[in-house]
Amino acid sequence: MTGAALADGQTVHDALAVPTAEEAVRQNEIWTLKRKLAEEIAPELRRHYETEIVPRHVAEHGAPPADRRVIASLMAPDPRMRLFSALRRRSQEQMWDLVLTSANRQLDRLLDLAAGASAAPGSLDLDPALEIPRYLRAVDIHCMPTGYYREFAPDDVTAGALYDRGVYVYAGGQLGGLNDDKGWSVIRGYLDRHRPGWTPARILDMGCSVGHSTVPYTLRYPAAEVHAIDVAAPMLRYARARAAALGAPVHFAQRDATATGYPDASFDLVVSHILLHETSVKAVQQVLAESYRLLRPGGLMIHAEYPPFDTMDPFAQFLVEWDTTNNNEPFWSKVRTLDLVAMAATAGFDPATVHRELIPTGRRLTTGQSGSTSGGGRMQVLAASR
Amino acid sequence: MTTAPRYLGEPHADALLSGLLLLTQEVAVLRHRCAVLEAERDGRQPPSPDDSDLMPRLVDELFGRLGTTQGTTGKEDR
Ligand SMILES: C[S@@+](CC[C@H](N)C(=O)[O-])C[C@H]1O[C@@H](n2cnc3c(N)ncnc32)[C@H](O)[C@@H]1O
Repeated sequence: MTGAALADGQTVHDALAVPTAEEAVRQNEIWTLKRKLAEEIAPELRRHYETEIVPRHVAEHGAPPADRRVIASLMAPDPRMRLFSALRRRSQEQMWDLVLTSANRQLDRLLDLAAGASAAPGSLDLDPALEIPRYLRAVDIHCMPTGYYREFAPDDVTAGALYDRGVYVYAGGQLGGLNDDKGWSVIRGYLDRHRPGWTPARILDMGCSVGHSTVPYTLRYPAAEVHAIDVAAPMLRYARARAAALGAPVHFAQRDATATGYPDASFDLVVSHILLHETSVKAVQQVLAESYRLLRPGGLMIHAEYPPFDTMDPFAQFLVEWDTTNNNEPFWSKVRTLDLVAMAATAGFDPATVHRELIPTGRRLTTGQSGSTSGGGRMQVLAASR
Repeated sequence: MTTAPRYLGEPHADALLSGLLLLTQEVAVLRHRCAVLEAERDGRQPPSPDDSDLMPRLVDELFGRLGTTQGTTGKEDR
């Protein structure tokens, strides 16, 4: 069941780790801090860069700083930049810590709920033998202290509960009350425009986490069988409980997107949302090849990612790259330099069907130009058909 | 978990900054408790938990000391 919204706008459903009033006060302090840094301090740093650092560099070298790395070396010693970095990193750590405390307080309830979800429409198929890729084990991505996959209790859902509430605070609510904006953006910004009236029979969402982007497909294509995979069991158990709470019939399975094990030609539509940037070059190539293998003739692949570097100016690139080194996002920059169109062709797709476009996203559209730290407001879609 | 990087030159400055953020949250909680008690006393609805300008003021104060002034609370279009 869904019901009211929290004071900050997140939609309440049975699986959500709802904060007490005092937990909400603490979480809100972090939300407000993050917003202040993104919306006021980052543009202030840009102004400082444009009005002081660039003219000085031009005077000394005859040209503005060449690229994001030079900008980083020029900005690094600046006390304002250092304070900005310290505040961003600490706010990130404290955000997860606060939400984790709140989720742990209600863990017994959430574990019971997940255990009781087995009768709901849809399914959950776990594979305890599945190996977690090294790129997920090597660091705790975006400083999330549980990682996606670690378990702290039998049949654990902690990481999923942490992610559902944490992402809402992290994104400052920009993904909407159900954190489902990326799914809806692909549906409305791409599928409805390029394939109006299409009715895919079988859909696969790769790297679904807790199903934030998966659920919109069950609503837009109610006749379709919707499958969603992830390597991380705690995300999937929670995703199952959440989908049940939302009345969404999704078939969740613990499978690796690089080698899913589904038979050839199993799906009409294969999608992912912000999966690629948390993998590796090798895995991206494998995911594209696997997508090709899984599609039926006439089927469509869509991988939605953050915008590539060539769509933003060097200072915006510099702010994006901050996360690579400071927010445990090792692949965050590299993925934005890949020629995904060429990689899709290498994976088997007819180059004539492969294309990349930017689609609008976000409830509140902010742009890299105004200091958003992730080039927000747009998403890159890599699409190809079989 | 990789070790948290340190950004600020002075010894312990990063840890102190963490503490300052935590203390700010505690002040917000105490303020909220007071507001709840006042609302109960006056028979009003309990206050919203997201009604605080403490962090923007703290950030303004910190950056102000570095020579940058920020004028707003960051909540206007919330
Ligand atoms: C940023 S989250 C995806 C968010 C989700 N798609 C959404 O739109 O809300 C990345 C997810 O991909 C999963 N993942 C990473 N590599 C994977 C792989 N090779 N196969 C399946 N899932 C993977 C992680 O466990 C994590 O849950």
